[in-house]
Amino acid sequence: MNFAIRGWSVGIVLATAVAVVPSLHAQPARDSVTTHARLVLSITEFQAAWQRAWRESETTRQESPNGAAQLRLRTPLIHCHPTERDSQFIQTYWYGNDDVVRQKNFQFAQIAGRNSMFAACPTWLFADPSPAAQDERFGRDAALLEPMRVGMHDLRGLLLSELDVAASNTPADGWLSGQRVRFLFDQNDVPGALAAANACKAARWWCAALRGYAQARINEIGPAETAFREMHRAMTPAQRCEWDDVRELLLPTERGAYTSLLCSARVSATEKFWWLSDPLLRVPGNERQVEHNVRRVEIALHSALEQDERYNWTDRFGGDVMTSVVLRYGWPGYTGWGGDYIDDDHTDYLETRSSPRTSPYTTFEYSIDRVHTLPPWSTVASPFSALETSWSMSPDDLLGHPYTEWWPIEHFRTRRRLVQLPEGQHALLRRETGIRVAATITLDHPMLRTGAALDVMMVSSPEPSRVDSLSRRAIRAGTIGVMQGVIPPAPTVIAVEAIGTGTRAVDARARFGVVPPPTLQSMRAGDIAVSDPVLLDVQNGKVNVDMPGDSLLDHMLNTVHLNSRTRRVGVYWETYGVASTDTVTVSVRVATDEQLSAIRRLGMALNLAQNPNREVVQSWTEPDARRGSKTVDGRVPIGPHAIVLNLGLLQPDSYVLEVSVVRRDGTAATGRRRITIER
Amino acid sequence: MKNRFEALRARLTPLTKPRGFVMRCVSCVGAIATLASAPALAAQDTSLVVVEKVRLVVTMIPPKLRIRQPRLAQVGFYSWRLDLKTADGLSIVLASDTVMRTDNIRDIVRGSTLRRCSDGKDFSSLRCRTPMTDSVSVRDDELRIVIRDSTIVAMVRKERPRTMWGSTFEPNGRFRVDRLTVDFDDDDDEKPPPETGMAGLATGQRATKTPYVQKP
Repeated sequence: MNFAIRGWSVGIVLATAVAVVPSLHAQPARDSVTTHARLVLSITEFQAAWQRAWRESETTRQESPNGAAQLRLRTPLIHCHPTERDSQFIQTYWYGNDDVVRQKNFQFAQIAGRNSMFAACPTWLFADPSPAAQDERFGRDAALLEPMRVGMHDLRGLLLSELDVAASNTPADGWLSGQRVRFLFDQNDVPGALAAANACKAARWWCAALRGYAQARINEIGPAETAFREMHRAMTPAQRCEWDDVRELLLPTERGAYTSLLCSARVSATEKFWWLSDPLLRVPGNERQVEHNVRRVEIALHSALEQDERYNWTDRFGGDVMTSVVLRYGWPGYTGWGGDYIDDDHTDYLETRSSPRTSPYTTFEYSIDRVHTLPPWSTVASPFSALETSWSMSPDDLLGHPYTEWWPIEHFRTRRRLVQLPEGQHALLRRETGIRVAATITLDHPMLRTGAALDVMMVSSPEPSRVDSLSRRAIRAGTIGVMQGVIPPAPTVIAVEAIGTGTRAVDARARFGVVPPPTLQSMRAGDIAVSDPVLLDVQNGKVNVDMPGDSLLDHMLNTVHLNSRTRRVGVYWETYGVASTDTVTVSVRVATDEQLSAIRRLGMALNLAQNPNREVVQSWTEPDARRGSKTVDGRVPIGPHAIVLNLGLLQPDSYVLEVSVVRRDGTAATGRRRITIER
Repeated sequence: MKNRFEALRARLTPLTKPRGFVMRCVSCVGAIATLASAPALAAQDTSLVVVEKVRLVVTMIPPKLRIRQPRLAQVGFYSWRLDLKTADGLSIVLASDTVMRTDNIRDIVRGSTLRRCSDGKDFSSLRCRTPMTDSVSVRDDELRIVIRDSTIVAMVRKERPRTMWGSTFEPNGRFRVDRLTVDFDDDDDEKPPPETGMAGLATGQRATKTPYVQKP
């Protein structure tokens, strides 16, 4: 795809598009051609100088005490061969600082080229690429050894002087504006980069993109988002459609559903996609979406010439692979190089398969503090059916590090560490004009220091542009909290989001969709209904089921997965439309809903096998003086109920907890909740 | 330290030989094993520097022209650059004098000038202004530069670098950086200088016969 900027163009390489580098669309004046060519040579020669310094840095690192061992680990990932099966694991070994060799499995998460045999195997950062390599998010020169950074800073200064002179003569040159912003950031000249972005006089959309990029680089997410919105408005529909294309971020099995949509239909789907990908709904701005735009600009800046310091950005040389890598994971934190001899070996591999040399070949390594906030496409299609488990931000070990076997289709690094909270339990209870929503949240994660204060908020978001705060309270990490609020009777996404306070910059969240029942106001006279039953924690002895009321919701169990210690549980539910004088039969039943196989049925008939579908049933008639019941009178009466169930006889399995109410006239209502009995 | 690594290697060797790993590396020609032969492999790409008694012979390849596929000629500058890390820094460039629209290496070389950079910080070839009179020729798409400047030859012979950086640049940002193996032709010490001609001189070129100088 080509975005024309005043005669020049900036190549935006998209997943399916052919990589396009700056080309002469409208022929500029002769002098302009020469000036541009001089600048291209200056940039290219600077990049070559940088590559020399980087290769020398990497060579020096390999000569360090752990260098040879680390290179041995990295070699299979540098030799990333698309002839290997996709998504397989490779075994590598990581050397700890305590002389212990630890085995880790890194997924062979391969991104193969469509027009070459070049492929990338991005992975987690192996170990400290010492000596003295920093994460490149601290700047391009972080990849260099300290002494070389100074020299490169000086050289880049000379290059920037040339670019500045040229920019003063051709302020409307979009290519030049972009390169100035890029190299000023590489130079860590943040004020200069911001000024260059703000001074851009090229095409409106491109200048807005550069401003958004610059603001995002300094973590000003709000202004960045504003600038990127302006960029969208200034784009043509075709540009917008290609820029917003997110197929690269979807699983291969999901891409068909997306690509089958026309551009116009994709707008709404993409808007929902980013809405559900927002790391924290309560925080203004969508950090993930901003990051996506930043990556697009980064790709445009690096592919504006055929090569950057290390990589080739044309499709025939694997540029489509680089685009995918950056679009999915951003710029790597560290790129390990194997040396000339590994380059030559891999070039042999490529050239014998009619694919050109694209050395230097590197690993693409990322810090482990990254999260995958994107939901699966099925959740985008049906957001209000989302479960907490619909998002899998990062499966973490006991230290809060993600399991290295896990490698998602994309990830990004949030400004503050973000962790996913365990699946909880939520309840929807009918009220006169709204729905009371209650959700348990277990503030338990290795990254949350036990006892640390968290500012917890429950929000509701029925559509991409709207977020309503429902309740807010302080809860200590390591404890269980119940958040409650009232929402309108419309499908919505509920999020419980905890912001770490103090010096510990760790946030946490849980998110799910709900489709609420009708309100009491909308029930007709004579209708009856039952809420979905809620499990209560009766272990602490604070719950009095004889005096039921919605205050019992403060004792909601924090899970619907019952282990051996939680087989005795309370169950709370509400009836609606059942007056205190009405005679009703109430049944509470816990049973599996799985069909028995033919062999099992035959075995049971022959008395050779047991029926695994054991069930627990309690049934009684109300009003019953022995059972506590306090009906809240009104046009539609509310009847809170609670009992204690002992599920110790049930085999580990998935069950349905069902509460049924049948009035004497035969009118019936049922509420259900799926629970799991674990070993 | 060595013992520690030997121990680790012993522990890892049987573990790193599952079939998948081996298969993956079959076409990699034993990356680990070829550590010692790295310079030789680099030299296979034909970019190298041979230091003879009175001249340097540099052979470099362009980054793209060897890829024989039809393509549009790019507009811009071509440049070849040789960098040697010394106390003063030595950079020699062969750069086109004007913007070119061609992908014919002979045309490019004809329109280029060999220049020496004033110091190692001239990152842009176009800033290097000191002209050199040495010869440049093209053979089989390879660029061959013969440098007879006695100061440069003496400096290289004194520094005796094992490698030099050779970089080639094409319009539109394509470049290639190679660590060129420097081969000192010291074996000739025992032999008399050739009586006629200069090894490697391009056909049709004139050369002045340089007196044989005893190595200090």
